[in-house]
Amino acid sequence: MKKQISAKQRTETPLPPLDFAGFLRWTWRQLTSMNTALLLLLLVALAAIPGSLLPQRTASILKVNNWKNENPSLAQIFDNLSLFDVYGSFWFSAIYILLMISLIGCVIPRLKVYWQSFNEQPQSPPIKIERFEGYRKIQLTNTSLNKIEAELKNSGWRINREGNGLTAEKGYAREAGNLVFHASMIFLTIALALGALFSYRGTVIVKEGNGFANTLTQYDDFRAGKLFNIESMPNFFFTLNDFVVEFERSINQTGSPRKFEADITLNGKDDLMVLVNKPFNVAGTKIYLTGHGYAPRVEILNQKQEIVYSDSITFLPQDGNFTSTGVIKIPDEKPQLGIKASFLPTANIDPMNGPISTFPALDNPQLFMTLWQGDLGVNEGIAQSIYRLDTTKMTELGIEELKPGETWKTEQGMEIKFLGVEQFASFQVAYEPGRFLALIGATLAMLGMFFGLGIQRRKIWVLMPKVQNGPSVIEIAGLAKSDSHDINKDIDKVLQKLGIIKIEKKGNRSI
Amino acid sequence: MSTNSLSNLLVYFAIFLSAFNIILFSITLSQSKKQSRVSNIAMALTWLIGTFLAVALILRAVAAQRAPMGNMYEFAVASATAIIFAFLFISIKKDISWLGIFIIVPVIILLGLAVIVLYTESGPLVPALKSSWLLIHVSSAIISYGAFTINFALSILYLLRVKGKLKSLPSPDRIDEFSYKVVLFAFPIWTFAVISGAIWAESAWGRYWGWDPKETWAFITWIIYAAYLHSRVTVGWKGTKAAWVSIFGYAAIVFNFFVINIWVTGLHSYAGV
Repeated sequence: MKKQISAKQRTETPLPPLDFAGFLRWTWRQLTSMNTALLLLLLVALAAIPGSLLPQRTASILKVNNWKNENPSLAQIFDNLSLFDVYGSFWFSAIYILLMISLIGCVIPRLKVYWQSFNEQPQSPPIKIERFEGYRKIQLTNTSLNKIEAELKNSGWRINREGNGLTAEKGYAREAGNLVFHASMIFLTIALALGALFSYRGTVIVKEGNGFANTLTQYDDFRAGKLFNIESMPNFFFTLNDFVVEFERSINQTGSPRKFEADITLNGKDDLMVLVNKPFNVAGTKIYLTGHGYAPRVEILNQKQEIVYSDSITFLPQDGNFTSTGVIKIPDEKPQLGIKASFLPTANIDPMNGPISTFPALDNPQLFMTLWQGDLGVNEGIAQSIYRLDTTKMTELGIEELKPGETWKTEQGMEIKFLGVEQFASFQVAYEPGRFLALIGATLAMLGMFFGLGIQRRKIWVLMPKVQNGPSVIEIAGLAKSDSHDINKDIDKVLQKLGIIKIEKKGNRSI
Repeated sequence: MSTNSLSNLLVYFAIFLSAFNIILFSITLSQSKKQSRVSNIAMALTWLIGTFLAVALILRAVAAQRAPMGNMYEFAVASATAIIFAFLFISIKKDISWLGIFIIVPVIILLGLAVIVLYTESGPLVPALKSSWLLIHVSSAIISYGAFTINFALSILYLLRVKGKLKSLPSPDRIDEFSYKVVLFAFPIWTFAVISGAIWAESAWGRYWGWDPKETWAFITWIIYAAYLHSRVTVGWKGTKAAWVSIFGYAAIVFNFFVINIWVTGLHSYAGV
C-alpha cells in the first residue's frame, strides 16, 4: 500500500524543464511546497538530537574535552562533523535556513491572496446547494432575504447578495492568524540571529573577598557575537564580600541546596544581594549567580624552605556532594612541580570507589593530593587548561591526604600546607540585546496561533426562490474549509437568531 | 498520619482503582451496547481516581508549602492527574468511555514509576526553582502533556482502526478528527510552556535559549507537533502518516521526561531528581 502511494507520487511530480529559468521556478516550487516544509520540519527535529546527547562547546568546553579524551577514536570525526557545536554547525544552519526560505515562500503568496480576498466579494452560491452539508429547506411566513441578510451582517458575516440568494462568509481571522504566526516565526529567527551577533556572554569565578572588573582579561570564558564592539562594554566592578550556602540536613532530600546568596558591593559603593533567580543589571548587562564551589588555600615550600606557592585554588565540583577536583602548577621551580588534587567537603571512604564526599557542606573537609615533578608542558605555547595537569612528562613523587591546618612533609623535603577552605561563586555576565525582539516575536506567534488554530473559515448560502402564491421557502446550506468544523452549528445559530428554530440541548454525545 | 503520608496513600489508592478500572474499561470495549452500566461505573471510578490524585497533590502542596512541582515524583503525579482530567473534561461533552483503557494504562505506568522509581519525600525547593515562573511554566507543560497523552492514545487507536481492528469503536475518520482537536488544544499550551520557560531561563541563567538538553527536546517536541498540524492538511500525509508523526511527538515527550531528566545532565537537573 505504502509503496504504491509513493510510486504514484513520483510519477505525478513533474520533471524540471530544461531551461535555467524553468529550473529555478521548479526548484522554488519544490522548496516551498508543503511536503518539503514538512520534511524540513522533521529534519530540524532530527538534527537537533545529537546536540542534546553529546557535550556542546557552547555549554561547557571542559566536558567536550573530557568526552574527546575518553573517545579518542571518534573525537576527530565528530569534530569534523561539528557534533560538538551542533547548533552553530553548517548543516544545522543549512536546514533551518532552507526551512525559513520555505516559510517565506509560503507566506508571501498567501499574503497576496489574503490581501486580494478583502477586495473580492464572496462567490455566488452554487446551483445545487442541496448537495452541501447542513442542507435544509424551510417554509416561512414572515421573513425576507433582507431580514436574513441584516441578521447575518450583524453577526459578522461578509455577504454577497445576488438576487434571490446570498453567500455569507466568516472566519477571515484564521488566515490572518496563520500569516501572523508564520511571519512571527521568521521575525523570531531573525531576532535570535541578531541577538547572537550583537550579544556577549562571559563567565567568571570570584573567590570570597576578591573582585571582578568588567574587562576582557578578567573573564574565564568569554564569547561575543561577530558584530559586538568590545569597547562598548560597560565599566563596572564588584567585590564578593560573602557567599552563603545552605544544604538540606534532614534525611529527606539530604544534600539538596536550600539557599545561595552572594553579598556583593558594586562599584565600591552599592551593597547588593544576588540570588539564583535574581540577577542585577548594569547598563543593560545582567549579572547572574550561576554556581559555587570550594577553593582550598594551599602553601608550598620547596626543599630550601622558600614559599613557592601560596594561594587558594578554585576546584571544580564534580557531583552534587561537591567532590571537587583541581590542579596546582608551579612552573618556576626546576624541575617543575604539579599537584593533582581532589577536595571532599565531607570526606568518607567508600569501599568500592575510595574516598568520596557524602555531603556538600564543610563537615569533614579533606584534600587528597598527588605530587608530580617534571615538565608541565606549559612552555610549548599551547594554551593549557588551568584545571588539567598533563602528567605525560612527569613522575609521581607521592600522595597524601590532609585536613585543614595539616602539613605534608614530603620525602624530598618539601612542605605542603593545607591552610583552609574558601568559597567561590561563579557568575554569568550577559548582554543580550535581541531578547526583547524575541519576546515580541514569540508573543505575536502565540497570538497568531490562537486565531489560526481557533477560528474556522466557513460559508453559508441562503436561497429564497420567488414564490407566486403560498408560503415562502428558504434553502440553506454551508461549507467549512476545515473538516473538523461542524457547519451545522453555524446554520443552527443563524436560524435560531431569526427565530425560525429553537435549539434544545443536544443529546448527541458521540464524537 | 502526616499530610505527606496521606498524600502517598491516596496515590496508592488511585493506582489500585486504576488497575480495577482496566478490567471495567475492557468490558466496555467488548460490549456493543454503548451506554452500558459498566461504562458508567468505570467513568464514575475515573472521577474518583482523579479526585484522589488531585487531593494527593493538594496535600503535598500543603506539606511543602509550595506548588507540588518541585521534583520528578511530583511532576509525574501531576502529569497523571492532568491526563485523567483531560479525559474527564472531554467525557462531560462526549461519550468517550471506549477511550478509557487507553488512558488508564499510561496513567498506571506513570504512577507506578512515580511511586517505585521517582519517589522523593516532600521538601522545600532548591534555590534554582524558587520563582513564580515555576507554577506557570510547569503547570502549562503538565496540562499539555495530559492532552498529548490523549492524542497519543487516539493515534494508536486510529492505526488499529485503519487496520480493521476494534470495530465497535468510532470510525477512523472520527478518531482522527478528535485526535486533531486535542492537539489544537494542547499545542498552544505547549508553545506557552516553552515561551514561559525561555522567559524564566532568561531571568535565572542569563539567556532565553541555550540548547540545554531539556530545552532541545522541548523544541523537538514542538517541531514534531507543528509538523503534525501541517501533515493533516497535506496530501499524502493525512491519516496514517500524520498519526505516526504524533506518535513520534509523544515519544519525544517521554524521552524528555525519563531519559533526559535522569541520564543526561543539564541545567534542568535538580537534586531529588
